[in-house]
Amino acid sequence: MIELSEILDFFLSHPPFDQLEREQLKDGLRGLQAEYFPKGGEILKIGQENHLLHVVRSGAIELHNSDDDLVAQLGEGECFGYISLLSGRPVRYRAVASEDALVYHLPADSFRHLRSTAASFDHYFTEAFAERLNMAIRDKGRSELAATRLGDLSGRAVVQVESSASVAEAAAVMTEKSVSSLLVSRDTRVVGILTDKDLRRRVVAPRLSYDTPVTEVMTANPTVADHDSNVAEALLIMMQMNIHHLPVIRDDLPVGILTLADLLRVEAEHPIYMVGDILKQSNAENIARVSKRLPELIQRMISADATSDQIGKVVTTVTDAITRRLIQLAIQRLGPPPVKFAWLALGSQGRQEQSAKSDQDNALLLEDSFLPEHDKYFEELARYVNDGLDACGYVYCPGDVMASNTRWRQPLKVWKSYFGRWIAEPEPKALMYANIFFDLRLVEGHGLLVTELKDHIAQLARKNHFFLAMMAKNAMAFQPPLGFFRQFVLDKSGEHGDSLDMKHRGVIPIVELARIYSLAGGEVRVNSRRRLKSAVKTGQITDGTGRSLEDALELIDFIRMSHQWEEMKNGLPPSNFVPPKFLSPLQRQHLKAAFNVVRTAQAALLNRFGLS
Amino acid sequence: MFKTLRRKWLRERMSRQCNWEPMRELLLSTPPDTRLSWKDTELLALDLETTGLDSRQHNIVSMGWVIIRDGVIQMDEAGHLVIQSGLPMNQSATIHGIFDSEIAQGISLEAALEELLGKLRGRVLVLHHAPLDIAFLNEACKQACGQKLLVPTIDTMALEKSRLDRRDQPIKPGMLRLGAVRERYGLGQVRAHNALTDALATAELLLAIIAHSESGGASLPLKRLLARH
Repeated sequence: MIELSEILDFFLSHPPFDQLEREQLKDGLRGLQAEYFPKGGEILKIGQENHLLHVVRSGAIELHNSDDDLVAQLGEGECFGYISLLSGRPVRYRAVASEDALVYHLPADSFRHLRSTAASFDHYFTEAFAERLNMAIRDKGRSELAATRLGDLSGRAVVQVESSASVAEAAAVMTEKSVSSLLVSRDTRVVGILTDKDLRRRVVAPRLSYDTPVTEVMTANPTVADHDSNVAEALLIMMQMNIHHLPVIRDDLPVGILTLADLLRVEAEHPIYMVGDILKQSNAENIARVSKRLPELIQRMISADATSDQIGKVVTTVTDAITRRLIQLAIQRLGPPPVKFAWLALGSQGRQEQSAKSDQDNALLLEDSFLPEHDKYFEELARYVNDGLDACGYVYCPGDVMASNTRWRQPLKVWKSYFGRWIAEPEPKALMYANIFFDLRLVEGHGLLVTELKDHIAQLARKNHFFLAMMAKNAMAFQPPLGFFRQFVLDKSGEHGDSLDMKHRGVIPIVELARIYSLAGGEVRVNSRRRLKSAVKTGQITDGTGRSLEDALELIDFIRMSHQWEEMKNGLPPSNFVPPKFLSPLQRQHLKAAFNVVRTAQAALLNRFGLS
Repeated sequence: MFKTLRRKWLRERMSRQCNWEPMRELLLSTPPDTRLSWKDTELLALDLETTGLDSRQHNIVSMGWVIIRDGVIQMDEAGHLVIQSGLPMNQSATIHGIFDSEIAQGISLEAALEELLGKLRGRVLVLHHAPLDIAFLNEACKQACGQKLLVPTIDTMALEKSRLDRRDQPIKPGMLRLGAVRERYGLGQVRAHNALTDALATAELLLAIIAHSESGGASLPLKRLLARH
């Protein structure tokens, strides 16, 4: 029993303990201990077993991964060690005191007891656990890992025995196939599961005969997951049911067995820690400090063979978090906004295709009830956020496409008229803006405003053949080179350049193609890969073209990002210029093929609008 | 070696002279081995609340303690006792709110002492500014059985003072107060002061002081920490 008010008050003022009643807490903190760690003291080692929930009472704790990269910094009231506690697996992050720290330890039994006492307390941990599997804190549905279907994971081959088998027969099969679990089936239907642990607990320990039918010791009607469910869901099931093996079912037939270890492997390194850290900061300077970890994150992803698509999404997720936090802080200072607003990310942030460092492109969309006297508020908000982003390394947009510019801080009706004009009179400047503003995405604020604007744009653009043709023509401004010759870039004109602008001659042409296809199909999607997929669906391009373009984008962008990383490692600012000598012969060959795909698609587009 | 034997002899002699069972048992219990690491010993961090600073004139109002085992504070073995006789009526309100349940009913000084002595068997006493609390405890023990309290003691104030002395750092008034020392070790402020929160604060401080004087993972032997008296 913990009677000391000071300690109870401490716990009751920090989530998730604040979900508990005082009486529950008194009883539930059984075995609570406090330990002091001087700066540099190690609380958890990677690979050790952990049977305690750790709560920072004072000081600060850092978590480091196996490469010793910082993954999180925890302060007063924050918990750690619960992943290993929940999963029963060895510790994955080293916990070390970055300041002298007093740390509470709560024994596993008490932790379990508290989780069973209050569902909301339990949810905090099981969800935090699942949350770590989600790329984005808010857009769960869109997250990369929530999007990883169980069917896409290799998992383990299904090993089955008939329900008539004996325990000895089952064990022999498990040994032969060297698996730790097997499914028991009757007429191809799964009726049970048997694991190593079951054999130990239910057969050997009670000294049952090895001729016992397997049906007597298996877990009957095991929890299964459909091959279409995602990793986060599967993990949640395993956590809540406290099981370590999950059969994956497709059309009633088992297709694989996933273990907790399989799922945890998917998790890899997560930017979720960084996003969480950003959302915790209470001023712009600290956000800027946290944002300095972004290059490391990119490097980790590049070395982990992440795709450029994944990297782009992760970087954008971080930028979004920074933007969102800055907006929240601005609102804390300025008070509630006078009318509803939507903060728009544009350009590469809008498309979720940011790389190492991008400049900022953003705008404010306001409700139509907006009055001139409200503008002072939004101007201050915009300035705060733009300055904050600049401090985080997203330098001011050279073209001044930022919310702090009055022109890009307007009510919905004005935005509609902007798009109306750009589409009706597609002169060069209008097309330039169209290209930036068509890639708009809500970061914070009122989503309906964005939906309404997008619907409006989709209607205008789809019907307007002339506008699309002008967009197509405009897109030809940037063309990929023919290939490479020795250390030079080979161009149609026969000119030799000694470096290649991978952004304007590689990425942008594909981005523009995707944008036009998607608009022609009447859809206002923003991510290039999604645009290409939807263009295939709406019949704008063939499946083959869509896939080739996606592959080309992936290849070009990945080489661009790897090169940026090389530059940063050498202390240079990241650029888009790749000298051919950086490329391996194989990369050159692949790039040449990718450029070919783009050129062919560009030509086809011109043809389509009768412009060739 | 000789010292240990002498202490043992002293204890035995005292226990023979003593007819108060709690004290006899304490004297006859095996004292901690001072050559071992402090972590191998159980410690009891104690704080007393008193009506004043003079042990002959003032009374103990309450006592609070926490246990340190394996170098870790064991929160749910904390104890707090309010002493009835020592509690002036007008101060009773300050006692309320220390605890979550209203256990602050108050018991006699002798009963409180009996419980404390029971907890001290085989353990080392930890105090911040030991001489003051020891004086009160000795006074109380004398009243109960005519004998002083004989337990190995660690004084966090003395430890900090000798650390500052070693560094030749001038000690300004107030620098050795519990709150001030804790601050130097990065420990938070204690909000509500009472015997138990201060006992806990003392225990935390001891762990901090030890952590800072142990370099390279070597664990301090208990005798390096004990107060000489």
